[in-house]
Amino acid sequence: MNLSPTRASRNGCAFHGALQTLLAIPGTVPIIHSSAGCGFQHYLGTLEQGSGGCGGAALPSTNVLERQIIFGGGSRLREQIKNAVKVVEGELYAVLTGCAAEMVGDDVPALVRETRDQGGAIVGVHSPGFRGTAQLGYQACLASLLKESATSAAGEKTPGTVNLLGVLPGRDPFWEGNLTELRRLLASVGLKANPLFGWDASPGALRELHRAEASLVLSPWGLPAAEYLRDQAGVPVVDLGYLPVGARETGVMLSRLGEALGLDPAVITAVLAREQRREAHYLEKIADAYFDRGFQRSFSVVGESGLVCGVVRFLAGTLGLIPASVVITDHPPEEVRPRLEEILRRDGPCPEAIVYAEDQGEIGTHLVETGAELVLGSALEAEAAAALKAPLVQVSSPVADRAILAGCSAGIDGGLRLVEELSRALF
Amino acid sequence: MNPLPIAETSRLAVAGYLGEAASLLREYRAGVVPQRIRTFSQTAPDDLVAALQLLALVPDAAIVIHGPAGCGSALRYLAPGHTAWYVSNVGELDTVMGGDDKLKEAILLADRQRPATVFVVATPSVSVNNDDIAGALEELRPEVAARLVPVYATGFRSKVAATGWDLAWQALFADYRPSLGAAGGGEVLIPALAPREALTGVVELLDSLELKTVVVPAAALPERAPLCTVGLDPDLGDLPGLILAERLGSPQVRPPYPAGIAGTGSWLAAVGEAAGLSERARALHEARAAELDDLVRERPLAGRRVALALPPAQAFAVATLVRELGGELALITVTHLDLLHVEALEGVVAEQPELVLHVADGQHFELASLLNKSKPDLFVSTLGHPVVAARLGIPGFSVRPEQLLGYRGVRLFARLAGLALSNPAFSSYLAQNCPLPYREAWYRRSQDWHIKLEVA
Repeated sequence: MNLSPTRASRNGCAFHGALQTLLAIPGTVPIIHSSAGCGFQHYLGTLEQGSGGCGGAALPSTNVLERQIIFGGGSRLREQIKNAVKVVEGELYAVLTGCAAEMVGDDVPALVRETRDQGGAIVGVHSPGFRGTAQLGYQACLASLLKESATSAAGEKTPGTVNLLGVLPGRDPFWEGNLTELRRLLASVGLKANPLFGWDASPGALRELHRAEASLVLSPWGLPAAEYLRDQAGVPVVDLGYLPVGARETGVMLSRLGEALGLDPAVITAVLAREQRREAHYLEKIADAYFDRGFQRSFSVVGESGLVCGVVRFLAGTLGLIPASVVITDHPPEEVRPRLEEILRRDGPCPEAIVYAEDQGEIGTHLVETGAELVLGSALEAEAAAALKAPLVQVSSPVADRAILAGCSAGIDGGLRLVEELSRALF
Repeated sequence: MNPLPIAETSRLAVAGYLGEAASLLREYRAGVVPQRIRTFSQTAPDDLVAALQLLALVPDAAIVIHGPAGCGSALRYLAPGHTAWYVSNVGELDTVMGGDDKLKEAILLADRQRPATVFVVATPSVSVNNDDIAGALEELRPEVAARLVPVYATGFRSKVAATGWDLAWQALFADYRPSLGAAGGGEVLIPALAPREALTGVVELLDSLELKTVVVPAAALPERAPLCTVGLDPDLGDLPGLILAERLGSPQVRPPYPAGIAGTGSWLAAVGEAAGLSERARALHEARAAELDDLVRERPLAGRRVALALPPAQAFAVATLVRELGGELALITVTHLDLLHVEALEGVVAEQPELVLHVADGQHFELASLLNKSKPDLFVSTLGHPVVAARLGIPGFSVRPEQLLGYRGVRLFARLAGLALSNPAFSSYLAQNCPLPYREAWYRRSQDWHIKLEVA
């Protein structure tokens, strides 16, 4: 990935993406092999997300110094791994390499192998920041975890289990709530999501990924892992490509899964009817205010690939708002862009402009040009929203106006929460 | 590469120690302070983070971080709302071929907003690669309106984050030549990591003495040479004071840190003396200290053992404040120690000769074990540490250094301590439900197990 210089970068680096991914698996202890500040930068950048087990300022880190840069940091890493296991409790230890250690050329795989040969549960994640964005870090981390867990994963398929791939811990501010909501929806049609990330997850779920009946892909960033599982373990891929928001999109997701897994269509229909009734019950409550407060207005959405598609489809397709523009910030690969655009334009009002940009200045200029009356984006869009005199609803990373604990932006509950957020902005 | 020495060299800074404070003091008095390293460590701020913290305050300036995007993540916390920062987005190929072109592109992007200054901050990856930043800036100068100033942070040269403040000051003062002399109305220059409005605790005192103040770097460097430089935290204020004394002959005042009643009084006395206002300063101290008599008589921390985890200047001043409020010190953890704090530490040790001193920036595993053993009643620290104590069931609070300044800081400290002690429900909840991740075996080990003398 060759990125251009950027103002107020919102995507972080591959190292931070890998770190966030590991921290979302309770029982996993990251061991950073890099200079002292790499982990600390991550801590300061994600303070509102909490420290978790041994995250935050407690992240084990070799804190390499000049002598390790000159003479190599292999022995320092060996010492750190040995002592991390003795000091910090964990089910799985994961060595992440930062830029400095990677450039020096320390043989991390050999050291990881050495520990594993001694019986240690450890994995190496090649994740220097210069590899690219946090999204690539998520992919690199998942790839390492999948590869390492493949050998212990042989066995029968676990009926009805589905892998949820492409919801990026930390990068999606609502990741944990979204996974919970998706699990709820899957459970409603008799499916079980693999709990790899979140409060009740554990490294043990890694093996289960290989035994799932399907992988549901919810953003372009989940596709390589799904394809790996398809090729290595025969797990079929259901590539939705975006996070569904609202009953209509939830229906698309469940129907696609039902087709792939041969579920009884009557069960899907019944569940969807119930969820539709539930959504309608609550949306009816806002109907008076919708007309009174002028909900119907033009809007721009700024955010990651998986997020923007679902939000636009819900706001335009269900709530009747007018999409002025979409800014996709996470540098999706060229080959997936036509598909994202097709999803955004499918059977509904089309956004006039679809822009790929990360730079805060460029995005701000674009937003002001659209003249949108409502902006859904990150805290970085505050300046542009103020220039437009338009309310800003923070839905994408970084969110700076609140802590997000269990809130979601996907599924039925995510749609309803989004309407609540809109009302807060428009009332 | 930058010739500026790291804190370990320039002021014998150490970032690791656990033992009797008196013993470390003896090393400083002898002028031989061996470096310590850790065989297990946790993440910590580095010179890059510290440099960004300072540079983000500079008005009318942009920051170009020459490295991958993650090297700017800290700015989200350090300077929320600050968006005039750019990353060159160094990629894998650039680490091989050099990232000079991207750096130039980033600078041109920053220059479009017409800042007066663009600070170009190096990062670990470009430092390992030895990118020619100076050369790139030289090439760009003819086509860029902004002043281009390099800041050679590396992330690995120093164990002490404060080294980054030195780097940033050096950059900020690089071309500083005030057009007017101090005669006829120079201001008192205060170096601080906060804007003037956040330093009310000391600015109001200088206002009372009718001394005009300028707080840098949040305010522009004055056009008139400063009357004098008055430090708050010596790690932050010493270098600018030295630079201005050497370059402009502005006197440098190095008073004790102005927190606590006695500490603020000493600071005020030193400033008063430098400004020829000793009598007024003494009267002001007496008046303001008298306003706190009720609090001192009340002794709100009586019978309480307090643990502190703060930067050294604040820690040693707050140690005295704890005693002023009737409390007892259980433990002091400082981010680092260096020659600039020896005198303050001597004062603390004179009061409590057996005091145990822990030198660690972060390193929660050591802190957790120390707190678990010491079991203080209250824990006071900066960002990130209170949760360690809380997860052990110890109530505490977090303070920003500027909050504790001056006489008003005394009341705030007492209030925050009172709140934390009066209802420790959340700490109890965390202790019961969110235990720390360290093994039982670690808590049984000597807490300095992983601190070793560095072999040269």
